[in-house]
Amino acid sequence: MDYYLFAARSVTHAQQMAKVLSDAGVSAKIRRAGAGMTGRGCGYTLEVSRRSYARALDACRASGVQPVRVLLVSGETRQEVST
Amino acid sequence: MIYLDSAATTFQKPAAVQRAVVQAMRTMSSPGRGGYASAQLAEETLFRCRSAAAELFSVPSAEQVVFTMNATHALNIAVKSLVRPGGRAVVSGYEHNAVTRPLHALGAEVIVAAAPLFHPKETAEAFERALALGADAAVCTHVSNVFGDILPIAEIARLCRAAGVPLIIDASQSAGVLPVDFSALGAAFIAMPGHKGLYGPQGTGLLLCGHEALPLLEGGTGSESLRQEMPDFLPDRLEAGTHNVPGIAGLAAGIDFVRAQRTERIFLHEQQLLRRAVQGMRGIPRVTCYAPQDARMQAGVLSFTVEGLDPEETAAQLAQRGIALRAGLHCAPFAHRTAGTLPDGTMRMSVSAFSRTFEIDALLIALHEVAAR
Repeated sequence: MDYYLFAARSVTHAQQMAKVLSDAGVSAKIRRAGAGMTGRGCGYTLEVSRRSYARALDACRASGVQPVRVLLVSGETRQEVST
Repeated sequence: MIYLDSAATTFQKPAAVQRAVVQAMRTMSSPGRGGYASAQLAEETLFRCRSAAAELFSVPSAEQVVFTMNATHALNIAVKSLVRPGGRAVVSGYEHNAVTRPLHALGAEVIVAAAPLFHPKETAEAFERALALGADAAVCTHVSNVFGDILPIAEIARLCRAAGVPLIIDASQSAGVLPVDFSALGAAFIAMPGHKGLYGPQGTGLLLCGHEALPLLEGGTGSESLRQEMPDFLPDRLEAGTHNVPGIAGLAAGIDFVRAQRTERIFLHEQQLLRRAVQGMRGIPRVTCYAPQDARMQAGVLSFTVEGLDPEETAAQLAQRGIALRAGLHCAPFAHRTAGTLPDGTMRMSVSAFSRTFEIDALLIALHEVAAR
């Protein structure tokens, strides 16, 4: 199943983003992310379903709490998405 | 014990605060360090506390709410972020050593905007004159920790904005008692303890950040670990090392208590107790108390002296009668210099939401006895 990862700069940023998404009716679980994901070491991501992606992105834009990057995960491959 | 030293720390806490501390010790590990349940629970608790504080103090984002050990820690970060070594700072005449010692350590030129007690207009005018000289920052306590004098912080903030001087507010005695609106004040930083008017445990404090800040400590943050520089984003930039999770869990419960009670109601309650104390003290021979004509200018702190008695001796005699309050300079020599109560200082009684009328009456009876000897 394909899904999106919204990368956050910190756990607090991830929590802020999760709250924005929750307020918009999008459920997203916070996960720790490895160095490969952030390029700078430990970080956090939110897993967003493909179905909720557009709504999630709109909510983030509207609130000003935006992901630092977004990746589309399809099976074993990850691809950065331009937002 | 009759506890009347809430300006130092509120000793009586809501039961929910104690429960939250114990619960955190039983169930929470290090936040931001793992993806397992106890770490996540700790993270959620921190975020809940940040969000509650952001709402109470009108901070735009929870990321701007930084946890510190106490207000002193928060003030050190704020002062050292803004004032260059050998720079200049404008301060009120009522600052605590938590402000003046960091400035002294920086070798800063300190311009004191001094004005008599309970004279807000003169205080604002003194700031206006001092700010005209230019400064790296202005630092102003919202409420004097010695006299309870409420400084005209909104006007001082306006003057600072007009002069282009970043303002640091010490809300140690006002957070949880008076409205503190971070967004409206436009301050660079607002520092506060968690263990006073917010009813959290000792070892907790908050720094509300509206300006770029320099870390006081460097270390692990659970983020950007490949980099050797501290993260350039809040709150991680200022929060190196493991958090005081039980303390923050208690602080979150304390903030919940304040929000449920409402600051206006707590202030009113404290004012009524203060008025009763002032009226009583004015009838006791040899006792001088420092109170304004307009009671609305004073928040939960009242200084007094007994003629011919050293404040420490007075405090010792009251302690023998089971009454706990503080004597001396209260770590604020600037305030005593401004008010003319050096070198001995004053006795200070201070109340909280848990203080009761009978406790004020007990103090007045004991003070009658002490002053009569």
